[in-house]
Formats: sequence, C-alpha cells, structure tokens
Amino acid sequence: MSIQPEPESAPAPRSPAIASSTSDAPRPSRRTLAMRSFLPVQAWRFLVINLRMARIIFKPHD
Amino acid sequence: MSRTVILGAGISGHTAATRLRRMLGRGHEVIVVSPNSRWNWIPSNIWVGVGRMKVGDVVFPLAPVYRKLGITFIQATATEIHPDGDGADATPFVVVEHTDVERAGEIERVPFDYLVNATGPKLRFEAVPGLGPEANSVSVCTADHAAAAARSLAEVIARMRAGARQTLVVGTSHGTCTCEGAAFEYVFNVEHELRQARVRDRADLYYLSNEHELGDFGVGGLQMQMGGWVTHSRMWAESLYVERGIKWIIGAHVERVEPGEILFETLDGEHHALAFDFAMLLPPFGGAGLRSFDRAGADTTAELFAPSGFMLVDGDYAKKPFEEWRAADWPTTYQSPRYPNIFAVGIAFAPPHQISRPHTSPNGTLIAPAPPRTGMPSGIMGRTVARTIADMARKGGSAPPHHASMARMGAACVASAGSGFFRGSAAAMTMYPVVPDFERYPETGRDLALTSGEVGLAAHWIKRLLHTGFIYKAKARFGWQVIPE
Repeated sequence: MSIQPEPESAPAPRSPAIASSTSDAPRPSRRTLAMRSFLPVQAWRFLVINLRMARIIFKPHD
Repeated sequence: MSRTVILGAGISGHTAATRLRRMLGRGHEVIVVSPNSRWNWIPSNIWVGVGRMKVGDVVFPLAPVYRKLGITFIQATATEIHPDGDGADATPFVVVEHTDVERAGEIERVPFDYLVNATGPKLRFEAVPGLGPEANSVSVCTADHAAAAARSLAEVIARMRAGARQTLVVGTSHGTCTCEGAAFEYVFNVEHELRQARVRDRADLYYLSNEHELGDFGVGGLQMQMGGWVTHSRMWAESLYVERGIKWIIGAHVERVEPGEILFETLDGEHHALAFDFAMLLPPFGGAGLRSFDRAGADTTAELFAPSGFMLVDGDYAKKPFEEWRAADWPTTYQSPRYPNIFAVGIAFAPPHQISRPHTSPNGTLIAPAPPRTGMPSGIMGRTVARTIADMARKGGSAPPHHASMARMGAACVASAGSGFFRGSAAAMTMYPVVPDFERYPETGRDLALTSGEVGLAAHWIKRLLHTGFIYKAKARFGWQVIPE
C-alpha cells in the first residue's frame, strides 16, 4: 500500500458535496437518553464494561 | 549478557522497553532510541484538541523514567539498520542521528543483539496537497498539533458568538487513512464543545471519511448485541450522528485542501468541493523511513520493508482477493522472516492486508481504510515481543517465540463525546478479536459476548480512568507492572 502524492492534472469538474443527515437508524427514546446519565445505572454499566474489558484483556492471545 | 535496542517510545515501544527491563537482570542492556523527549498518551490528544486539557496533561519527559528503571535513553532518530554489521565486524547495529539540543545532528552507531522497531507512523501530510497544520487544515496526531487545533476551534467559536455561521469538517483525508475512531471521537467532542458554548445552531458540522459506511472504523464494522438484537455498528453510528445533528460524507478520498475548501472524490467517482471554516483531517500514515543494508553496504530495504515503509514480519503477504483473506494471515510473533533477532510492533509492522473490504472508485482511486493497530493491541505486541526477547536472551536464540495475533486479541475503543464527571459522555466499543475470524465465529467473525457498543456517562468515566491509569503506568510509578496492556 504505497501512497503517492496526487499528480498534477487538469482539474476535474466538481459538484457541491452531498452529505447524509438522516437515516433509518433507530433514535434513542427519552428514557434511553435519561438512562445514559442516570448515576445508579451508569455505575452498573461502568462495572459491566470494565468486566468485559477485563475478559478481553485476560484472554490468551496465542 | 544481551543488548536490546528499541526504536520508538510510543505505546508499543515503551511497553516493550519497560516490560523487558523488568524481565531481564541488570546485566542485560535495554536501550530506547526515540526522536522525542516526551511520552504522549495519544488517545487524550482529543481533549487537548478541544481545549479541555493542556499539552502538559498528556505528555511527560521520558529520561527520568528510563533513568529510574535502568534503561538507556538516546534521543535520536534511527535512520539505518545493518543487521549483518559491516566490513570486518559482523555485529548488527543501527545508525541514529541525535535530535537533542546538545548533540543535534550527531551520527552514532548503536550495536544490538535484538532490535525492536516500534517507530510508529510517519505522518504523511505531503500525500495530500494543502493538508496539515503547516498548510490549510489542523490535526490532533500530536499533542502540539492538538493544541493548535484547539486554538483554531476557539477562533471559530468566537466568530459564531459574534453571529457568524461556520462550517466545521472533521475526518480522514487520503483514501487509505487509518484511525477513523480518532476522527469519530473528535467530531463528537467538537459537537459537545459547540453546545457548551451555546453556538451549536450556528454550526454546520460534517464528518468526512474514507469508510464506505459509518461504523466501519477500518475493521469492517462490528456486529454487536443491543436490546435483544444483533445490530451492525452502521446502525449504531448513524443513530449517534443523527442524534447529534452531524452530517456525514463517506467513501471519500481528499485530493487537495485549498484555503477554506476541501476537494475530494467519492466512491461513485464524482468529484466534490466542500467549503469550510475549520477542518481537522487525519493524514495517511507511512513507515518511519528506515533503510537497511547488508554487510557489503548494499541496500536491502526492499527485503525488510514493504513499499509503504512498514516492516515485514511473520504475516502472510501473498496478494489475494478479499474473499480469501483469513485470520491466519496476520502475524503472531512480529519477527522478521530474515532476521529472527529483529521485530516490529505497533504501527511499524506491515499488515498483510486491510481488515475492512477495500473499494475502488470508477476512476481507479483506492478508498480503503488501513487497519488500525494502535492502543491495546500495540501494548500487547510490545509485551509479547519483550517476552520472546527475554527468553532468547536467557536461553539462547533458539527459544521459541511468544505469539499474539490481532486475530486473537481484542480491543476497547472508548470514544469521548463530551467531558465532565456528571455531564460527560462517551461511546464505549469492545471487540474480540480485532481481525474477524470467520472460522472460529462463523456468523459475525467476532465473539458476540465480547463485542459491544454503548453510549453513556459510564464510558466517559472509563475514558478518564484509562487516561489516568495509563499515564501512571507509563511513568512506572508504584505497582505499574500490574496494570495490563
């Protein structure tokens, strides 16, 4: 994967950038948003994520 | 008694050096060669880049730590490897050029028995005309770059406070960039700062990326369990972008950055222009530019390194189509096939291929995220190579190497989306393994019990804990060795 600088060439015709801003992805409900900062729930999630990370860390790599 | 030279003092090099020093007695010498005098916890550069941290919060001087541990530190850039020595002397050595003020420019030969190439990336801003902090965009790749990015962001926010509407673009530049997770993290931090400054309604915020879909992250995306469903990270990521009102442009290869305008091509072959007031675009990475020579002085760089400048190790580098890629292609020992006493870890080793499926535009432009190999995997590689060298140094060169494939190691990516103990937020992703293994996990390539994504305050606490814990460990403070990589 060798990266070469862009060659000098005639400028390509350009159009304005078209960005996506909507999708059919699920959006969080008000309850979900509230739970993301509700301290008892987040303390529990802190424990769960740390345990999951610990399982990943201590799995053998060979 | 042995002498190990480690080139680079980033996450993988520093881990290799500190672990090896602990494994071997003081009769063995461990030498670190790094052009930088400071260690940088790069994941927290994101917070420097929005002004939430200072440079001094994410860097510290290396020399006192190495002095305390009994590691020799040479502040220099390695330029040449001579694995067979030269002339009448068969002792392998590296050539380094000093970068410290007292000895700047001085050339030195550093002999070695074992060599670890942990040089990290060369930031190839020059691959895209107009890219980078010396030209028309900003970067968060180094702590100083990030500090400059924070100043630019503050200027943009000041203009918005004065009533102006501004366009901010965050993402990758070249079609073969890596570290999409860092761009993902930065765009959400910027969005958070705009809300904190009460100017969000005056900002058009874009995420511009070479990923062919949101949530790819250079690892082909992830399938993860959420709310009783197995969901692709695309849905998860799109949900976040929609929620925060960030527009996205994907499958993009930036051709040029003009003052105030990004010119890019997309996977459909169309060429576009996007005006901006603030742009943080990551550069493509290349190898550090090391060259190698045989004993007669002939250049052997092409035998030790891939054309990208990354070092060839024990991976399967045979060209093959995406459908034939296997987890077993990935290296496990990080040992040079030609020289069993030379290793490459972290970004310095040449990946056998991408992880994410590569795409090419109708114009022939390759738009394919390079595989990420930073953070947790880098540290594990450094520790694995340290174990191999320690065995070789104690038992002789024939001691079997230790193994750690990226197809057998996981990663945790905690992407901050705003700071503050009670108001912070982050997206925490875990995956196992980094390289999907469809032979072990036929349905999704990864272990669903260990592959997850969630957003919340807890993830922000973890991000903060990682910042504090890893800097504590890197400073080799009391008990550092029990903190895992």
